[in-house]
Amino acid sequence: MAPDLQIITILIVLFTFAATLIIRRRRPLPMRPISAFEVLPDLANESIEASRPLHIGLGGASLGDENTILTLVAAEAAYYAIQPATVSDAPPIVTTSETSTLPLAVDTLRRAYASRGMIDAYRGTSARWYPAGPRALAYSGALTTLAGDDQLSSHVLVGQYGVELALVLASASRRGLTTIASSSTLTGQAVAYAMADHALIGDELYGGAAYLGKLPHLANRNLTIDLMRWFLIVILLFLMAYNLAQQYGS
Amino acid sequence: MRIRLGFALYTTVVVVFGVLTLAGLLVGDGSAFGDTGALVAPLNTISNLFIRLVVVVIALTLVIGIFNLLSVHAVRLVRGPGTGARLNSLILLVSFIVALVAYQFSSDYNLILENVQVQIELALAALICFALVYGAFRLLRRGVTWGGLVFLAGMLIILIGALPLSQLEPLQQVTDWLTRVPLSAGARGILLGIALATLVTGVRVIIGQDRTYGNQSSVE
Repeated sequence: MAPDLQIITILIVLFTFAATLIIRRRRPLPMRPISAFEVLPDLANESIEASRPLHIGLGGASLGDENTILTLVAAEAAYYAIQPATVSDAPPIVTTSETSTLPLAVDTLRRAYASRGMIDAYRGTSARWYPAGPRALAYSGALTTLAGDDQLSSHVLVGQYGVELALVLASASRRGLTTIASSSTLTGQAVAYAMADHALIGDELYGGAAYLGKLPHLANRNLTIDLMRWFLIVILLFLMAYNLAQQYGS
Repeated sequence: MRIRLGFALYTTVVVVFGVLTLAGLLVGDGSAFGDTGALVAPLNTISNLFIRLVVVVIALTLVIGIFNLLSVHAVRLVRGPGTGARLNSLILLVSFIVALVAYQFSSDYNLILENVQVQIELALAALICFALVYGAFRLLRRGVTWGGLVFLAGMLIILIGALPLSQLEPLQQVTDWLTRVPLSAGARGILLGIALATLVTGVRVIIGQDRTYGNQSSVE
């Protein structure tokens, strides 16, 4: 990394540290409605009433690379989605195409059951690894059969997906399953927007904990992200004005 | 608030390893810090050591994955929800054994991967096109919204503009402009938003404010 870029990176990280430590609101600010988070608790209820499992797919999100934080956030959303569904006769299923995410998926399931005092009902086989194959098509192929084989009630697909997400969503639509989809890739987001019943675009997944956890301090993350976003917008506008002034001033 | 010993231990490990790794990656070889660079450079060695450890652990998770795959499908074979599920699990287990045996006889030529897996994946890749068309049709059926209309109009302009016909040259210029200006700006905006959220969440995990491990999701 070039020295000047290194210094800028350090400054950004230090600024984020400072903002994270300073922002500690006890009473959360109102948040804009996001349909995926509004409907997620209903999907758990549907799963319980129909005795059909809720599926949470983490896709190609993996630990140990640039997707690590996305994976943690997806697992966090999965935790809140699974928690109410743990009382269902059909236990929720968590799938991943990355082996590094499998221990996290197992732990997320276990924590969700433990939080409801139902650790005896927890089954390790509800966390499943489906190898992705060279183009992640094997994983999406597996999910299309999973919907029929395990009689799923709905799909919650949070993680990393590409264009292969279209196969899963088309299959889910034919079966009349409700779908929530999100992806870290732009291709996956475009497919999710067009085909999922409820899509999470951009950084919306990162705010999920505050919506689903309903704990005041979880909203501080969203507030920090929003403040950082406004700070970035101001910097971009300032740089644009500076460039225009340079261009037309000389 | 009652804090359990195990939970405090998890947090301490995350904070110590997280801060040291981040600091090591940020300072690099210390050349950006002039004379004090030599003092902070060992942090980079420590962070590299941690990253190597992570790589080894991640490699080991493949064994966990194979064990999970076999155990899940063995259970489904016996107590599967239906005949279809049992049959699929049986095919998977048999394929696993056949692939393992075939590899022992000929490790150079991977018969099952090249003749079965790749062919099936290619067929699935071809199906994606139809799935996307179905998606566009479904977007229309869901109701008319401004977002949906813009999405469809953009998609149609870009698809038609991609046709190699000389009569469509004005449309191709529109397609080029769409790709270069609004699409590029939108994509950058989304990616910047994701990057900011990743940065903030990462910092909160490192300093122990967000905890996606242990038995509590997040504590301040």
